[in-house]
Order: sequence, then C-alpha cells, then structure tokens
Amino acid sequence: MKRMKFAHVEGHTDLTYSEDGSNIITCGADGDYRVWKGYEDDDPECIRVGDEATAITFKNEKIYVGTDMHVLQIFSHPDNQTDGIVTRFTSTITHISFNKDGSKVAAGSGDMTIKVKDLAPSSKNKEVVFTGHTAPILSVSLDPKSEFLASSSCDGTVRVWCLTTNEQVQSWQWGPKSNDFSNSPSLCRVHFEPTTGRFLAIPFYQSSTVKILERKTWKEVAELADHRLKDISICCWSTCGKFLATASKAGDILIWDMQSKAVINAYQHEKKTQICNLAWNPVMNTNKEIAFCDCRGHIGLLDNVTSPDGKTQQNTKASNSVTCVGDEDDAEISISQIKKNTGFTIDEENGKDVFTGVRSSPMEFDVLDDVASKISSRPSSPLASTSRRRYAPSKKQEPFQPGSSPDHLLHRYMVWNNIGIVRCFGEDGDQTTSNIEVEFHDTSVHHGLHIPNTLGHTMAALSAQALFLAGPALEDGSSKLVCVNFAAWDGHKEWTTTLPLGEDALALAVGDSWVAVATSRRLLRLFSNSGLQRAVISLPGPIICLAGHGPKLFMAYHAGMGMDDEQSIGYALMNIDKKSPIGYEWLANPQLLPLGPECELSWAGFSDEGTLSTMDSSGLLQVQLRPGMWMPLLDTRQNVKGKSDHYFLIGLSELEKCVRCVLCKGARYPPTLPRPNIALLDVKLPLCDVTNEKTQLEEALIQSSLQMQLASTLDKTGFDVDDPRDKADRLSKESLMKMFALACQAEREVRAVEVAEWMLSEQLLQLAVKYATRARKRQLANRLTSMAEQLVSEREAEETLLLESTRSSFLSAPNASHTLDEDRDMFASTPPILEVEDNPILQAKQRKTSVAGAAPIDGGKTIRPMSQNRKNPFAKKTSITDDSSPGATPSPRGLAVFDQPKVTQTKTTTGPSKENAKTKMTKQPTLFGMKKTAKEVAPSPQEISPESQDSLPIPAQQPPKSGFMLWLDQNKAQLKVDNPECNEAELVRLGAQKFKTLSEEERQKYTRKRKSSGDAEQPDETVKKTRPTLAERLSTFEA
Amino acid sequence: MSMNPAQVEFLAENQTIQITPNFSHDRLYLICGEVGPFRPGIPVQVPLWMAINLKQRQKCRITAPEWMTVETLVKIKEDEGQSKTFTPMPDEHYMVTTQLILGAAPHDIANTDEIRILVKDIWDMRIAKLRSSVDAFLKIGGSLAKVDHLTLMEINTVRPFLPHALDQLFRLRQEKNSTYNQTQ
Repeated sequence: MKRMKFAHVEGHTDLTYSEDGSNIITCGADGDYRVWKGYEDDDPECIRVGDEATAITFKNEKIYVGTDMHVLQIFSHPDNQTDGIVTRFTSTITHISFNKDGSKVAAGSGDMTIKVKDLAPSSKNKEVVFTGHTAPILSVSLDPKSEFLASSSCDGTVRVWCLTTNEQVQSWQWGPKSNDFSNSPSLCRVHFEPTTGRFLAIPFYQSSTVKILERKTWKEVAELADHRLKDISICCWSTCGKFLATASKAGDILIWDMQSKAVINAYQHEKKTQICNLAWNPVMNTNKEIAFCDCRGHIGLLDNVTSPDGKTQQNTKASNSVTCVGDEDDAEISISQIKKNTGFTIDEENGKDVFTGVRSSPMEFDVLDDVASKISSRPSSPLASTSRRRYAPSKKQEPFQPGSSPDHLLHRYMVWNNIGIVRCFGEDGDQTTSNIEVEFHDTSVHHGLHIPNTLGHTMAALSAQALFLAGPALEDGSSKLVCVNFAAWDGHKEWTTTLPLGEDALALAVGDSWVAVATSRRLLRLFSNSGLQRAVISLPGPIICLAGHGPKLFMAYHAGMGMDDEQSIGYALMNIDKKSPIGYEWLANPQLLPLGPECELSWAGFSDEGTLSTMDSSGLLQVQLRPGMWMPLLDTRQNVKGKSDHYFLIGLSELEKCVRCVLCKGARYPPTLPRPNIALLDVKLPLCDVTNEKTQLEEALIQSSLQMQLASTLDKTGFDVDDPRDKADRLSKESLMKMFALACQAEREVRAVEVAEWMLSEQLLQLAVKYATRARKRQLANRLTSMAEQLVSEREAEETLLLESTRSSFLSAPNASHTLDEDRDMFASTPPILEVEDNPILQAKQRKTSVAGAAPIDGGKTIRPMSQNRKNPFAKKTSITDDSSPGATPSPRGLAVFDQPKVTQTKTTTGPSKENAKTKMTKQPTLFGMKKTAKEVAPSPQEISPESQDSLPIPAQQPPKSGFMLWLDQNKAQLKVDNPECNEAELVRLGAQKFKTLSEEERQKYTRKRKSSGDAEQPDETVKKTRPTLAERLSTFEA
Repeated sequence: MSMNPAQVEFLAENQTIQITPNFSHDRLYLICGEVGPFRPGIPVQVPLWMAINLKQRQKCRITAPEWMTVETLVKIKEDEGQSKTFTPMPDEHYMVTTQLILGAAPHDIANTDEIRILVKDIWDMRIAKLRSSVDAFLKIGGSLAKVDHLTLMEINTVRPFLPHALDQLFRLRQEKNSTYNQTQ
C-alpha cells in the first residue's frame, strides 16, 4: 500500500494508465494533466490543457483529455504535443471509453449526448450521436467488440445501445435522478468485461449491489452484495477480466474474484473521501495494482490487490478462530491456521515454518476490525517477498568545493575562505561568458582581480600566494588548470596546464606553495605554485572534496556503499613538504568520516590552528581531535530562527572559540548581492541540559581543557598561544572550583570528590578543602585533605632536595578539620574565601606558596585587581613584553573570581597554583627554578627574616625583579657554559647557591639596581665585572 | 545649557558599530576602551568615529546597524505616525548615525536613498510633534510637562529657545502680577 499523494487541486480528478503500465496519467480541476513515471515519481511532467480537465484516457500512444473547452483533445505520448481534437460538445465531457482495438471512442457529456467516433482511417471520421438520455451522461463503456455501448446518466438510468442500429436496446434504473454529474450521488461507472465483453457490470446505487449482466441476453448472471457496497459508484474490470474492482462514495475499494464472486481484498480510503476513478495497471499479470484518485485531487496506489486473502474470503471464520484463542480456550484451534493468519506459511518440503512476512498496510485500509484482518499472509513462496526489494545503490554526492555555492547559479561564490572571496558573475542568457572577481579580505595581500572566464572555470582555490582556477573539460575535451601566482616576483604571474585528454578536474585545493587537483580518473595531481608537477597519486575512491592548509591536504572520497540511503565517506590527510619533490606522506591513513544521519558533507577544511573540521548538511560542525576521533563542536542550526535558514561556513578559530559563517535566510548558500555579512558564532558543544548551570560549567571545563591541550601542541609550532592559554587555564580553574561548589551545595559529595580529582594543583585542592570545611562537610574535607597530601607527596618526591623542610612540617601537621568550629558562620555558601592563618596544613603550604608566589612577581607580573588590569592598556603592555623574559609566568589571577574583599592575600596565593598547573602540564623545570629563586631571595637584606616568612608579602610593594633575578639574567650564560650537563632547573638552583655566596655588597648592588631600574638594561661593564667574581666564587664553592 | 549639533554628533560618535576591516592590526587601547584586534574579513566592533575614519581611508566596510533597514524604518515610521506621543527610537542618536554612515559609506548599505528619506520623515514627524506639543503647552499655560523618548538631538533643537521663551513668559507674568499687586 502506498501513501496517497497530492496530484491536483481539489475537485474532480481522473486517471488512467499508459498501455505499457509504466506511466500513470492524471488530470484534474487545475486544468493540467500529469504524466507520472511510476507512482514514485515526484516530479511528473505537467501539461496545461485548459482551466479544468475532467476526463482522461490513454489509447494507442495517445492521450485523450476532456477539457473545459468541451472538446476531446488528443495529445501524443510521450512528447505531449497536441494532436488534434476528436470531437466537441456543448458541455463538460464526463467520461471517455475505447473499444479494444482503439478504433472507436465514445464520450459522454453534460449536454446529455454521447458521441461515438470512428478513429479508423478508413471510416472517414464517422460520428454517431446518442441522444436518448434526459440528463447529463455519467459514464460510457464501449463493448470491446464494438457492437454495444453502455451508458449511465443522471436521469437515473443505465442504457445499452446497439452500435449497428444506433438504437437503445435495454434500460435499467440504477438510482436517483440529479441534474449534473457533480451533484449525482454516484458516478455509476458501468463497464464491459474488457477481454471479450461477455459481461457488463453495473453499479446499482439504490440496492447497493453490483449486477453482472450477460451480453446480448442482458440477463443478470450474478449479483455482488456486501455492506461496503453502500453508495457504490464505480465498477472496473481488471484487464484480464477475472477480477472486478468496485469503489464507493465512502472510499471503500473492494476487489472481487469473479470466479468465486467473493471479496479478496478490501481497502478503505484513509480519509473516506469519494473515489473519482480507479484504473488497473494493464500489464501486471500477477501482482496486480490499482491506481485511484479521489475528489481531493490525491492519487493512491494499491498493489498486490489480487493476492487471495484467506481471511477476507472466510472473514468471519478466520477472525473468530483467532479472537477466540484467549477467551474460549478451544483446543480444536488449528495452529496452522493461526500461523497462516499471522504471516507464516508451512514450507512443505522440510516441514518448517517459514515466515513470509506480515504485510501491514500503512493506510488504514482494511475494513475488518479484528486483529487478524490487519495482517494478511502472502501465500506466495518465501522468495517472493525478498525479490520485491530491489537493489538500490545509495545516492552519492557530487564533488564540490568547500566554501562555494553550486555552479548552476548565475551569480555564485567560487570560493569564500579566510583569504578572500572569488565570485563568478554569469551573464543572463549567455552561459559562456562570465566574469570572475577576486576580492581579498586583506587588501595588503593583493588588489582585487577581475578575470573574464573564457575557459569556463567552475572551481577556484585561493591562498595568500596564488589563485587557482579549474573547470570541466571544454569542447576540445581538455580540462585546464590556470594559476595566478601573485606572489611571483619575476613578472610571470600566470601559468596554465592542460590535464590529459578525457580527464576532468573535479576538486581543487591549495596549501603552502602547492596545489592539488583531483581528477575524474581518480588521480590526485600535485603542482607547485610556480607550475612544477610534483606528484601524481591514486585516489582511494571517487573524490568528494579537497581542502588544504599549510602543508596539510585533506581529501574526502566515497569509500563504498553505505547502509540504506547513507553515504560512506572516507578521508585521508596528507602532509606535503615543499622542500622535497617527493615530500608527501599520510598524516592520517584513509578512514571513515563521521556523518550525521542522511547527511551530506557540506564543508570541509581546517581551523585557523590547522585542525581538520567538517560540516554536514544538518549544520553540525565537527573537528578532528586526533586521527580518527571527531568531536561535534557546534550545531549551527541551533542558532537559526527559520526552518529553512542555514549557515554557510567560512572558517573557525579554536583558540578564539568562534565560528565564522554567513547566515543564509531561506537558503543553503549566501546571495552575492547584497553582500552578506559574516556572523561570528560561539562554539557550543551539544551537551545535555544546556540551560543547566552544571552543564555550562562542564562545557567551560571541557572547552578550556581542550584549549590547553591545543595550546600545548601549538606552542611547538610557534603559534602565539600565551594569551589564550592563560585564559583557558583560568577558565578551567574557575569552572572546576564552581563545579565543586555546586556539587557541595547539592550535597553530592562523590561528585565533589570527582571534581577534586581533576584539580591538579595543590592550590585548588586547598581551596576545595577550605570550602568543604566551611560548608561543614567533614568527611569530604578529610578525603580532600588526603588527596592533597597524596598530591603533595607525589610532587615532593620530585622536589626532595628543595622541599625537605616544608615536607617535614607538612607531615607533622595535625588534621585540617579541627578548624571547623572556628568560623563556620562566616562561610554562608558560595565564595570560597581564602584565609590561611588558621590551618596548619595550609599554613605549611602557604609558606611554600608565598615564597614561590614571589617568583612570578619577580618576573614582572605585578598584581592588580582584575578590573583595573582589564582597563589599563599600559599594564597590558608590560605583561606582554614580560612574557618573553625567562622565567615569566602566566599572570596570577586565575582564581580571582573567588576573591572577595581580602584581595591581596588571595591574589598572592593564587599565583603558585597557576605555576603548579603549568608544571604539571609540561613537567617543565621552572617550578624548581622559581622555588629555588624565592628561597634564595629570602635571606637578602631586602627580604623579611625567616620567622616572618609566614606573613604574606604585599604585592604592591614587590619590585618587578628581584636582585637575584637580575643577577641570574646576567650570569646564566656563564653558568651554562660552566655546567653544560645541568638542565634549566639545576642551573637556577646552582645560581641561587652561588648568589648566596656572593658578598653582601655584591648582593646589595643588585638589589639597588632592581630598585632603581625595574627591568632596565644592564650596563655591560657590570656584566664584565661580575664574571670574574663568579668564576672565583664558583671555584670556592666547589672547593 | 544647550549643545550645538557638532557636540551632539561628537557624543554620538562614541557609539560602537560593526565594521569589516581589510587590514590586520593588533588590539588598540583607547581611552574609551579596547578595540580590535583587527583581522581582515572578520567583523569587529569599533566606535563610530573610527569606523567613519577607516571608511574614508578605504580600510573597512561598515555593517549597517540592525535597525537601518527599510522594513524596520517603515515600521517605526508607521508607529510614530499612529502614536500621539513619542515612540522609542532604536538608537539614541539615530539621526546622527544615519547621517554619518550614509555620508561615509553609501555603498555599504542597501537602499541608501530610501533609508535617508525614511529617517528624514521620522525626524520631521517627531520635530513637528515636538513643536505642536510645545505650542499646546504654552497655550494652556502649563508649567510642567513630561516628554519621554526624545533623543538628544531633538531636545537640542528646542532647547536654546524654549527655556528662554519660558523664562521670558515667566518674567512678563511676574511683572504683570507685581503691577497688578501694586495697583491694588
């Protein structure tokens, strides 16, 4: 059973099959007739014949349509050209009928006449008019042997006429009178049996029966009766004459087997709408199908209508036997009967039950109300069911250029990327002349270009060095690649190359001084920017698209047949080294690209940072985290308002967490005019419960962690990542702490511990302990303390030398929870204020951190309240310059968000946490260096005595660089030379020891220098002076 | 104190507007705040004065503010026409912004002429409304009136004259009263 579909506007609709059964031809109240190439055709040919078309039939490769001009018009098939008219009436043509060989056509009209026209060439268009009816004609049926004509009319009669004498031979009363066929209660479609004309079927409206009359005698041979024949309207014999289909005004369609005179299948129109006509497919001999149309202009298809249906024949019996299973508990019930009813057939040969499938109709068609009738068995062989499922290859998408709009558009984008925009403007009516306009986002790259597109380019790739154009083969069969190498300095900017005959360029990508062309022969051709051929590589499959970024080339191809209608897209990533002619290799071996359900790839490319990313047609943007592992970054469709709005992707930046795209209202592609604006979307992971605060924190944590990971990999490639990394670091700490607080508030201690496990810095853990303590969560605090201990001991194992004293004090410290009672009221719920004085553990830690905390300050990172920092451009500048200085650390305001009034203390303590995180991340030695530094700075006269170490240094008073730092800066090189085996940390340690041994004046000198000139340059002579001292000191130390 | 149009314009120029630069530049630290960084082809919010200046040097394209479309303005105009009182404007300095943007970047904005006409219509309508209400205010001899949703420029069109006139009236009335009192 096929879903009904819209064919015409509401009103009387008619349909017929073409003689080969491949086309369904419909006409309707919109004045069109439509040729559907099979029922599944969604784009029928549509031919306008007038304002209304009321009747249609097909015979001998011609279509006969009754139009609102009251003429019977002929159209040729399949070219649908008008082919003259048959006859004219003075009113609507209501029905058309042919004899078997098509030599005669009969048509009935609203003007009460029936005309029978001879179409045979010999007959000289003889036309006979029958005028006996006293009301508009409802239907006509020509005897296949051309002896009789049956007709029905609104006068309530059915008449049979003799075509030889042109006299009326019989008449019956079928139903009530009416004045027009549109008002008639029934269409009263009479029908001669189409093979020999032995029988005539007449629907009797009044008695709700169909009578079968014998030819010539006009005696009733059978009467079909059923309660579903109420309001009977149409009878239609199958082309073989063995079956009869009846349709009623209530939408019931019954299929009768004319040998048993029994209903073999029954259907009901889903909306119980009146059926206007139905037609048997003339060629199907076994699985017969019926097409029908209703007065709402919809058409439907019933297939397999003649498969005998055991239950409907003996409907009461079969249904009873099923329904009584439960309640009557009848032991006599035949199992095989039930099986048969539910879709099993017994395989005679091996005696097994074979499930042949249960056919449940998608339309509510069956009339029987019981369960058994809803499913009908198909008694054909089990193979029959499988053979019906045809092999259908999944559709595969055509090659495309990322960032382009489709080439059937007159004005289109050939490419829109981060470098610029290449547009192609076709001229109206003339496909061959078009112009290519290149516009650079950055006008300093190159001025705009204007190129006439004489070679018919359809593809463009643009980099900051060159523009490449390519297209399909021209008339002479060759496809050309054109390069405009505007980075060339020798005056020869352009070069052209021709692909071998029969090879079309399908995709194009450009990278760092290379261009790749994928061709229809499944080759990937690599050229250098200046036109050298570098490589020819075989593609793993039919290409979909290419994308390039720096040395990386991405290719997507069809990897095989997907499941059902899905595509299976593979991708590979190649590294192209410009330094060697054969310098290319797989970065990621060919593997499958993740794709949304029933989606196509709509964009592929790289982020600014060089991460592979794709967008599919559902608008989901994904990035490749590592080879083979992808993560959805943003569902762009979440941001659109209209259902048909889409985002056209231009690029994305992971560090900035933003996606650049163009909003296309009601389209997938942006218009060229007016010029659309780029929209910046924030990255938003498709997590659950988006509005939840917890989710927002989780997302922030995931994103910042990813960013830190990304930053650490990018750091090696020379990307400037300090600023984003600091931000990410801060954000991750913030969100960790907030998540912890949230978990505590929600009394989720297990969750809180889990969050704490992610805190890789002692400082954060301390905060967490503090918070838990204040929130009176003793157990949680204990757990966290032990975690902190573990973390610290792990760290201390690494720092044995330096942290001896600290560790001992830490181990001897009593449990943290004893502070619980002291200040519980101060801590209402949220902001974890950092106070250190009352917790011995923290105190111990604090000493360490405060000492270490001085280090970043020494590095020039003066601490200010965040707000001040944000506003003051000068402050920003100093921090930027200092980033490059050795030992510089990220600005220590990571946890500023938790800070409440006690700013200075908190600020200072937050410093080292950052430090620690960094240490953890890269295992870099700076921590040692810092610690050592600080330690060594302490005894200098400027610093406080060891006893006062616990009191925190006030940041504002901190000079930008300690004396030791200055000293170290100067002497580091020398130290390195002297101790080549030492690493950075050891060097600093060594330096510290050395600095200690310097004379008081020496140290004073540096301290003074620090005081007088923050980070001013040192006079050379100082360096010279200190060096001999250093060597001296070194020797004494070693001695 | 009244302000002259140039002063109002100066204030309006501090509003931010989106531009698409065609050059690359680091973040700028200005007294009014940070601007940038500028990256070619990527929209950025800058103060109006900077946008106009960059546009004059062909360094950017200006993106029209959201309200600067024919549909929005037609709607505003209708509302303004139907309402007896002043309706809120989409922008405190709609007149100045329109003048500046359309003057500097007529090609960056669609339907320049229509927008210009619509904004002028709205302006005329509001000024007429303002004058008639001032007239009515003086005629009934009221001493207190509350007017909402007037933009700065509109206020300044009546400002030097209206308070002065009211002062004069007040003085005349006082004089009249005092002479009346004296004669009594």
